[in-house]
Amino acid sequence: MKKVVVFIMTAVLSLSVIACGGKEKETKNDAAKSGSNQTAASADTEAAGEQKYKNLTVDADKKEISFEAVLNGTYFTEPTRHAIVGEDGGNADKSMFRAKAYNVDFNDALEELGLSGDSNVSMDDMSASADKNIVNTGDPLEFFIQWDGQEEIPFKDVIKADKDFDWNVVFTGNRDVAESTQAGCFLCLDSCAAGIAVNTLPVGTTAEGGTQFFANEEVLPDDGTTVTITVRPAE
Amino acid sequence: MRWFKAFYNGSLWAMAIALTCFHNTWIQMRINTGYIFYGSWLVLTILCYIATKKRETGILFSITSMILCIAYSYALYGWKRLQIVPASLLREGIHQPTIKFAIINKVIIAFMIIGIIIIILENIREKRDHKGRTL
Repeated sequence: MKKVVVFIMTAVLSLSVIACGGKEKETKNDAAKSGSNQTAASADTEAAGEQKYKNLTVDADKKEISFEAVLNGTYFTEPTRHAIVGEDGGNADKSMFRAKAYNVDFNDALEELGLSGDSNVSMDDMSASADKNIVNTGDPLEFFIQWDGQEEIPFKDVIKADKDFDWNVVFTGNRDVAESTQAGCFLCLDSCAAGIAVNTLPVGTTAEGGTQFFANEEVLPDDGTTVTITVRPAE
Repeated sequence: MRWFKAFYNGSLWAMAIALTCFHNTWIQMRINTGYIFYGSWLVLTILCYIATKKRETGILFSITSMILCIAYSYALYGWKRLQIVPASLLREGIHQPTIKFAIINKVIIAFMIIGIIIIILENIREKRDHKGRTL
């Protein structure tokens, strides 16, 4: 009996430790690989007539970008400032949706549609409080979401907060910071130095005591559901 | 059996520590709280094993430990959030975000119930053996 118990304990603890270490390496390697091979891979795949960006579709005629993401039910009850983060990004587990695409590709795809961002928020600005009113500027965007059994609805409808909030999303053009930090952010709920798109609330809006954002459980499907997110330039 | 008690009680305390960390938004947004749980579990299991070397703990210790940890977690999160947060940090720690909360919750409940039953049965068996030796 004792031997069996000790064996089970050792096995479980060993598995825990292995699980803790493994994925980190994989994520960093994948991210680095994805970043460094981006240009070459894009050129090759385009030449071969394949999809230019991994898991990201660009429709130039319709002027829209779409990608799949998985809903994280943790944020039905817990606050977060990360709406959508790429699954290989450092903030992937901290966001409402884990995109199956890469955020630097998302930046490039938006530029391909002729959009631009001013990249006017620096990492040094990120510790500022909301009253400093530091906000991203760039071309305005509209985010939409749909899933099985649900037609496309505005992304704002799946977000709720403990206070009333404005919803104006812009393209930030934060490609360089996004690539260097590998945070993976597609859409942040307040202004940010690393997100490719942000809701233009001032930096620090979501800090302690500020606005708390949640995924809206009353509208959204179950945790783990794959959704499709579509982004278009705002009219 | 001392190892199992340390393993069981260590898991409860580690969960209480991880839930406390998760409750702080600043920590929750920056650190993988699953790592805090698994790391604390390992450390607390070893510490508890060493601490009980001279004097082994009884059933009451494990039952009290379980009740206190459940009460503390409930006070911190309430029922609805308790159905999400422990499962969320467990899956975050092993980088398996697609495992359903319901499955993880079933594993947690099974572990807690089966664990305490093993401790109780083992304690009864030990007492019986002890009685047999003294007669």
